[in-house]
Amino acid sequence: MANTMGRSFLQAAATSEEVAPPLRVVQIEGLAVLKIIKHCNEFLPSLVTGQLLGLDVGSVLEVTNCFPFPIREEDEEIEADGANYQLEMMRCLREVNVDNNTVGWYQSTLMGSFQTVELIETFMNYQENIRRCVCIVYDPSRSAQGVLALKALKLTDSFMDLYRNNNFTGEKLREKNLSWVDIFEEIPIKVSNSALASAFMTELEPELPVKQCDYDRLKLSTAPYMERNLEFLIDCMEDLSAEQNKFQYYYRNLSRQQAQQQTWLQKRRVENMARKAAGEEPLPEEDPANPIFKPILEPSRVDSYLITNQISNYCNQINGVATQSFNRLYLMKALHED
Amino acid sequence: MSTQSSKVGSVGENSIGCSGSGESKGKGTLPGFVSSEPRQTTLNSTYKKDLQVDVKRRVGHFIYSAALPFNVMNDPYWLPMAWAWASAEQSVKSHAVPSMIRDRLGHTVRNGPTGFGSYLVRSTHRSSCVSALLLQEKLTLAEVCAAAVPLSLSALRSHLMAVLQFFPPSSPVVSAKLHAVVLFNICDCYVRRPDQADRVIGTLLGSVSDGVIEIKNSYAVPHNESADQVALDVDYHRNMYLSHLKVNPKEVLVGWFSTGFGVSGGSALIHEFYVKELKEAQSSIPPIHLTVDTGFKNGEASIKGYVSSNLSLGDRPLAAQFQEIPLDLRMIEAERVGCTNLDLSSLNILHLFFSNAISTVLEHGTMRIDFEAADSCPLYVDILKTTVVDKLPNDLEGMEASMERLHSLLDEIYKYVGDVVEGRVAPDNDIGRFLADTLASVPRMSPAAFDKVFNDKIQDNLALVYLSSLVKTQLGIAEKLNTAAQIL
Repeated sequence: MANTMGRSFLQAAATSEEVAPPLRVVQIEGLAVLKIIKHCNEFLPSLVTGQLLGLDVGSVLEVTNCFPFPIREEDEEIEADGANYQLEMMRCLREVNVDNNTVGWYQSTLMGSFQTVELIETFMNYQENIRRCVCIVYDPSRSAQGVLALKALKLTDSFMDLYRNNNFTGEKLREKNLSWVDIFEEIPIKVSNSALASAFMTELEPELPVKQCDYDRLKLSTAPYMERNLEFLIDCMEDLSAEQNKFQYYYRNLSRQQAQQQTWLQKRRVENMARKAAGEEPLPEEDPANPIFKPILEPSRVDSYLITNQISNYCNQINGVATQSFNRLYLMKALHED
Repeated sequence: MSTQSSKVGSVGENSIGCSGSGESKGKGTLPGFVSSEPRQTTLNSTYKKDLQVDVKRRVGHFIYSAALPFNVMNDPYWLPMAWAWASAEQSVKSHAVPSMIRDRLGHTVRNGPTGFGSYLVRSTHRSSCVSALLLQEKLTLAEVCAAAVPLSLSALRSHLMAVLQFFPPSSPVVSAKLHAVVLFNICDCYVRRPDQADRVIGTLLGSVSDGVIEIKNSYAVPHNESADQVALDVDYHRNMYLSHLKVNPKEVLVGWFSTGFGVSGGSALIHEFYVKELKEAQSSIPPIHLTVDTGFKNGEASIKGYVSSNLSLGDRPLAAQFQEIPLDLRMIEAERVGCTNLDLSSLNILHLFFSNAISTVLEHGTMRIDFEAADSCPLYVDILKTTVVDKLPNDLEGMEASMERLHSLLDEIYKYVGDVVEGRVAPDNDIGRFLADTLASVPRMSPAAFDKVFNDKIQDNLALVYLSSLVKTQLGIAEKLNTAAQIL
């Protein structure tokens, strides 16, 4: 496997196992940011994805370029096309000296509702081939509020191990002390630009007293955004309560089954006593053929974790927007007092 | 005077600058303007042939019937008249010289400077006549050169260069808009270019509407450039184009870019290639050529867009002329940029702010200040300007920054108004009107009504914050309960 950490060959050969330094920062180039924004905005309201290219250097993951994926239709033959497209793009970009290294993918999201099982699946897929990959999520609706809503996500290692073994029982989770916050890890993003690009930008765009983002931030009507956020939140709550119900059902079944087992065991014991008194062989205390001994599967907690994540995301967003509104309203009040 | 309508084509066999000599085409003293691609039809010949023929015929009739001598063009007032004509009607040139004269010229060129040709030759010592001829007849370089043999070619060329600039654009393209992504991409490609390459060349993608080309995307194409030839990797270009089309079928080929200052001979060749590509795609727009000066010549960043029109002699093209078109650097909505000027932007923001809000009492009376019109401003420019941004600003920090800016704007305006009132600064009517409008756009509400609205909103927001905190607490509890539950 390629050693991307820049140590000397001797060192690399000496160490039998490399311990990668934890990923601390994702450094994106302005070019990649602009491309992501452009692609996501063009295809609103449908959600789009694309591939990230860059370099993995120590504790920094550099994203230097990206290219979008075409919108995939639900057709079988398009699958091969998709792979071809990817190969073609990588090859072409290689020819113009763009870093040919996949470091992850980006996707657009609607109101921050990106925590789905598909995301985890994609992560697992990528993780098999690439040692370190990251997913960048861009939220166009939130960016309309005046904030650059770009997030870099990564699955935590502990979660990945659990998921791989499909071992999602309460026991295991308690063992690892894994709660729903530990599924995704958000990594801070740094934006970097080449000197040439920044020279151009400073030259062409004079320092302005006011920017469009200010317009957005000072807009007083946030109602539509909040409304949608709340709608999504309510939906999620319903989902969460459905999950809770599932768990309750499972527990009820489990306890019922245990009660049944107990009664059966009691009966057996009594029978055995009777037999002993009668001088016969005692029957075994267990009977695997009996249906009441069939173990009931515990439902996976992944879904509920994801939903919880989503809910907390919405709550955070609502909080953020509400605080902004407070600021604005007090500003208005001050204005009025003149 | 015989009409030799069919002989025009034969002029092309002769070289530029000399009549009757057998030099091959393409060599001469005007290498920078010559393209070596043969036989392209000019835009004018394709679209306005009928118009032109008609005009020529009528003007010719007039001159013949009025028995005007052909050297009427030497008249000092001819040129101003021609100018006025040309600028009044840009699509149809004022063809004062009938086609018959051009044929005559052709005849002259072949047979030596006699007859009319000699007229022209002797009388074109004054460059004004050359320009008049060009302006009126749109004769090509070659014809004029052929006819003006005794004139020193360098003088002619310098003059012609000056003249050529004045051709109004004959293509339907009026201007172009450039998205910032493209600029960044070009910079990135330039930084990553292979060592032996001097400049980077690539394709531009975008869309056209109403004569405005919007350049939305780009990709670099590997190429080889040497002293006398340019090779472009066509397969690569086609492959990338197809790939890009898969993602966004609306972004079509609109032209090409190159880094470096100015337009060179090789560029003309590459431009021909793109013209052909566009023709294959049956697009009616001419390709646009973008130059991005990464070397910062003249100490400034210059990004220029060109559209080429071909100058041809009869059927044979001789030069490709690149005309600059106005270029507007703008960013898409998410980035929200425009070219902004001064402080109307600040007034706009106040306008927006006030119009949503409450009334205010103006004590200053009408002010007379003048600001300029502004468009929307960049959202992320500050992120994109510096080389490294350590942290993307989140909600509160952004809010804080915005408010600080608003505050400073208000200070500035206040200061300005104070200056005007005290007479320190000359008042400007437009600004004053705009300020008055802005302040008047604040809706008037009684204090009681405003208080009610304000309190309602505050309460709504508080309720929302309360709800979201409640939900989060609930989640925490549920989590604990779920995992802490022990099965016996």
